[in-house]
Amino acid sequence: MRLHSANHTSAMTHATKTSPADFHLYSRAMSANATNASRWIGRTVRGALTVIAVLLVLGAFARVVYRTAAARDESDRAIELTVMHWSGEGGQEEDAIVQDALRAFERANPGVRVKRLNPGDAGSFYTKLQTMMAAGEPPDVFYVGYERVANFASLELLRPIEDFVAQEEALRVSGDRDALDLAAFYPQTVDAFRFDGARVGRGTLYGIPKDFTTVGFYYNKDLFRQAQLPFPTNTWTWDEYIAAARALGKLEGVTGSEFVTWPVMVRTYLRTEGCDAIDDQLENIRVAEPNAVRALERLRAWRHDEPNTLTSGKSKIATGASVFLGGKVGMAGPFGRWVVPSYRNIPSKEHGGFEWDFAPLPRGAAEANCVLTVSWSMARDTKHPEESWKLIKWLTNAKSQADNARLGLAIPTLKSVAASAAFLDATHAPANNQGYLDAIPASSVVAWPADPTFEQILGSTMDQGLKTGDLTITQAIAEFNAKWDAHVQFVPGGANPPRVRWDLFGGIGMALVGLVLAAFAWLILRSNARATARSEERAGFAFASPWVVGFLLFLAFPILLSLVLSLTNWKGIGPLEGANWVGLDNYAQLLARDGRFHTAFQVTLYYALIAVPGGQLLALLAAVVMMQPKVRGIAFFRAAWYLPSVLAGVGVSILWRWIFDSEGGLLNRTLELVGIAGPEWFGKDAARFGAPAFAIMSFWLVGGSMMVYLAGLQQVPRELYEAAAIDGAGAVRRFVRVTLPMLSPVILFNLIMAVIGSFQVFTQAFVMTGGEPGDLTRFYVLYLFNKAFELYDMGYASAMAWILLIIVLGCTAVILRSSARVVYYESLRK
Amino acid sequence: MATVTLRKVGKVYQGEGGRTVRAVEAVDLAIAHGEFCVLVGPSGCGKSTTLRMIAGLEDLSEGTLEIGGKRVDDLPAKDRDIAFVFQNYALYPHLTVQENIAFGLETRRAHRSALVAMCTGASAERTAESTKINARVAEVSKTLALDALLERYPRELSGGQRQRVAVGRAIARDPKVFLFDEPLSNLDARLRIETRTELRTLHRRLQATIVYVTHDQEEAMTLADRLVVMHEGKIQQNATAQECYERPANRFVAGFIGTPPMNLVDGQMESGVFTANSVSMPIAAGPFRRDCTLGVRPDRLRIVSSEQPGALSATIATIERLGDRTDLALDTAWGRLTARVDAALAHHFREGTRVGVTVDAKDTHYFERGACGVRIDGS
Repeated sequence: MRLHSANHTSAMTHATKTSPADFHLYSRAMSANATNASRWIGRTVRGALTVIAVLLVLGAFARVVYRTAAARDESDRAIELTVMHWSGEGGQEEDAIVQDALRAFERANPGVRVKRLNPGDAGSFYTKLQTMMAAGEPPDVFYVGYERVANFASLELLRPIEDFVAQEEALRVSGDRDALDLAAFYPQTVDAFRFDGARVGRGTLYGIPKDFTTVGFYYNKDLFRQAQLPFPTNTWTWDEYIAAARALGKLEGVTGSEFVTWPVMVRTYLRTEGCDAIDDQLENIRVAEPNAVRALERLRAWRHDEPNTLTSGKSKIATGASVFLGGKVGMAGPFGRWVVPSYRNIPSKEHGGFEWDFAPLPRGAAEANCVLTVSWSMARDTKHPEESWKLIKWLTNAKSQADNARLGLAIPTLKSVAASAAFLDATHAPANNQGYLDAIPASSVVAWPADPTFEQILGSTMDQGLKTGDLTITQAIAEFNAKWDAHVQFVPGGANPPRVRWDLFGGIGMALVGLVLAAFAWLILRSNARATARSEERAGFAFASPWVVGFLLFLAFPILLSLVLSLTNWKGIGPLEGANWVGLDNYAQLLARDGRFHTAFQVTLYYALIAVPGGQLLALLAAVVMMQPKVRGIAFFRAAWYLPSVLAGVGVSILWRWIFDSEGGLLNRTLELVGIAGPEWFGKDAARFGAPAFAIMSFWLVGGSMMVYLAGLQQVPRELYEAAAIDGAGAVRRFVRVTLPMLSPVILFNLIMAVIGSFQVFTQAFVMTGGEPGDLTRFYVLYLFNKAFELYDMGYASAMAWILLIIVLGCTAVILRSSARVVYYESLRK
Repeated sequence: MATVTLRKVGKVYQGEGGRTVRAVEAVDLAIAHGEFCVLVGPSGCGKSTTLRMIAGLEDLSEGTLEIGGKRVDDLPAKDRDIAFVFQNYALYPHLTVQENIAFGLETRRAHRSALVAMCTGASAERTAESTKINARVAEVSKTLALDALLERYPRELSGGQRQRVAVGRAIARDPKVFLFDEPLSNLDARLRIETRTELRTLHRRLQATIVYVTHDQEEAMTLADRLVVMHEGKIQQNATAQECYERPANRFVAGFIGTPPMNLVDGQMESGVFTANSVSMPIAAGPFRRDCTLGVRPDRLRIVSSEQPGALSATIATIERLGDRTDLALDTAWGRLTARVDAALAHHFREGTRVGVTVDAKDTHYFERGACGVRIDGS
């Protein structure tokens, strides 16, 4: 039996089909019917819109032209110096002090104007500086931390100031009392800005130190009294230190001491035992010498084998200066003066705080301390070196230093000011200001190789030995050697790489642009359609053109440029002409030898394997729950689940840093309640729990995926569920046989987005851990950022970006391919 | 096969702000075993809601429901042993025709034998079950001429084919009752007429109890053993199609059943003379004397010469020629009336000409005034 013949069904489709010409926006029929008045209005509106659009574009460019012209104009009349500094620990007060000094300078030097930039903390400062240098417009005068001098000088970014110093010397001899006298400065601080092409500490001078600090331990006097311990002296030893820490650790709820293992502190610690991580010539690695290993083993044992003696590794927030503030840690260090402004906020004992003071670094086999200092330096390409020098002199003179000393943030570099009441101010804690000064004779600059990678690798491997303890000291040292060797043996492009042929690439680029334009022209001219169709096509292209131009300029161009850059050794600092051609060396190094890269990849993969399936399951589950119409207040829950994913990344990250805090953090507290000892997420358990912690955090942000699932679920026709219910399917079977297949395109979409997203974890890691401890939370993109903006290897970072692209493309292709059989598309079709 | 009995069934929805909406009110309905029962009415009359309550897709707010003599109003849909054909077919788009038809069978097998299979590892039994299912699908698809389409997906089928798959899915399980919710409304006019004939045939073959919902009175009349006319949530008339046509229970049914609809004129009946709008026509009728509504089917209006005494004077406004018959729209003092005449006579008429209209007493219906005014059986 046949119900009917199938032939009739085509009748309806024919009836609804219309010829393509009828689909034009302004069909002839319409315009023919339109009255003259409405046609006139339409034309006027269109004309007005065109004029406005053209004016907007012209206006935008006119402003740029005007600014340039105005700038040139001004340079004829007055000299403008750009000054850049940071105000991390010093805060608004430091900002104001620099501001005041600059205004005073302007008053004293008519005809010179000073433009001040303060990007915030040191990290933002260096990023901004790099951008400005890469653009060829560095500030004239700016802060340089001692640890960057070698790097900046070797990149030829700083102007040597020997000539000015000699000039000052001549002025001084001739009796000028305002002349700068280098001998009046602490010599260690001046030497910190000398660089001879290989090492810091001697050679050409690249800046005048503005202030400095020595380091030591801050101690809680009340806890010392409670433990009946004598206060530390300026000549105490490591034995006395650790004895005190042990005794303090026996007090109820108290940890003996915080001991930070930053690379510079590790090296200073080693120096107190007469050894170091690298020799003074920066040629031989000394960290594997027996006494160095012994010293490190001792530190590791204090930290790991003795409960409550040293605070063990914790999340970034709980390390460093702030743990001391709670009053439950006996000592904290080695820190310099920079913690003093925040410690001065500790209330007195009557107001629930405690009394505290400072003691310089204990002695071991030797007496040693380090000089941490910041200079005012001058850009190599400054157009106004004379005025810049005047400004540097002004900013480092006794008056400026005395003003600065009020902050308590650092020690003045002029001996006379340091010895004056400006610094030795007895009205504020710490009482032992003299302790900082007493440490100076034995202190020296901790010189770093010009390549900042050394410090990063030392930091991360020492973290793993001392902080997380997932490596023994011997292993950590071996790891360090392997990574450092892999790095120094990597000379991209060989000994004498050729310059990049920018003319060639420029030509190729122009040709590409020409091709694109030609393709557009061809697209427009090719069509032999009717006039209305052509005019519509032109309108289409016109409407699309802002996006097309934006895409070509701001996406296609940088993307292609990064491909070229990945084949060079461009530093990302200084102009592109300085780049050398290195071929595929960057890629070969990354894939074959860069252990840190492999770690970063593993960390990211570990994260993705948890975050992607877990997140998607959770999002789907949440969406299914949100679909239940009978739940009261469902709209509230939908909003509540979605809310986290629209919150600002940095704020959320800081919040989660507290949640993951291994002592007192919300998560571990909760685990404690159910009898589970929570891991030290970003401490000693980071190898296992670091990446999962970020995955857990990502679960909090599944609201976006959930919304997409929710939209998908609402697209599933209700009749299908009803039909399945009548067919006898229960809730589970309905979900498996109806919901999942109907939702499969949405699942595929979310899955791909999640995979891509999981390879792009940055903000969280950058804010919460900075990749630490070791490299255990250094996600792919974070390492890429480190390479590009901290280690100044933009070519290498570009290669990483391209490898990432290939990985993501590969993952997506695999998912798409393998999904073809299980993804059902009709729900998206008509 | 089974009977379906509704007793005082009602459905009340909770609207916005505590307002209640009564969709179905006190529906009493007894559908006999093997009967083809059609619920018909304009949209919003409660017919679909009634059907969905029988299916178990909606809860009953009031009353009781029995299928096969067993009370089922508390059972979930899957336990009522019914099949439901949806207006848009609700085929599983990701399954082939074969899988669509087998879905219900597999689901039921899975329920029954999952535990057994788990305990005994009875793969032989499973295979036997699959063979059984395949045989049933083959049988059904042959009945519906779907056997060539089994491997296709719904998107690859025409509207009519999809409709047949939906029917196939329903009959594969051999349920007690079939429920159809406007299954033909997505088909074009011609296919609809063909399919409705096929449905009728199918019903005869299966001897199935069918409850069928449509808003198309013509479809309803051609299909129904029993016609249930619904309006505003209530049953207006429950009778055979013929009865509904010949003796509409009230003014609503009179107006709803039949194409073109019955002419209805409000007026007064007095001594065999019907007066509306001050114009009278002598109609020998029952011995009553009151306000009422006169109803005359278009084909029962008689067109006479405009001079004929007693005839209602009319002007032909439009003429619709339908081939075998012709519909005339007449402007009269009673308002616009529709007359249906034999096509053979059509050439006598011109638009704008004046004619007379008379009615035989046997062809008249009288109702109380009002939208649902009941039939007055004095005539």
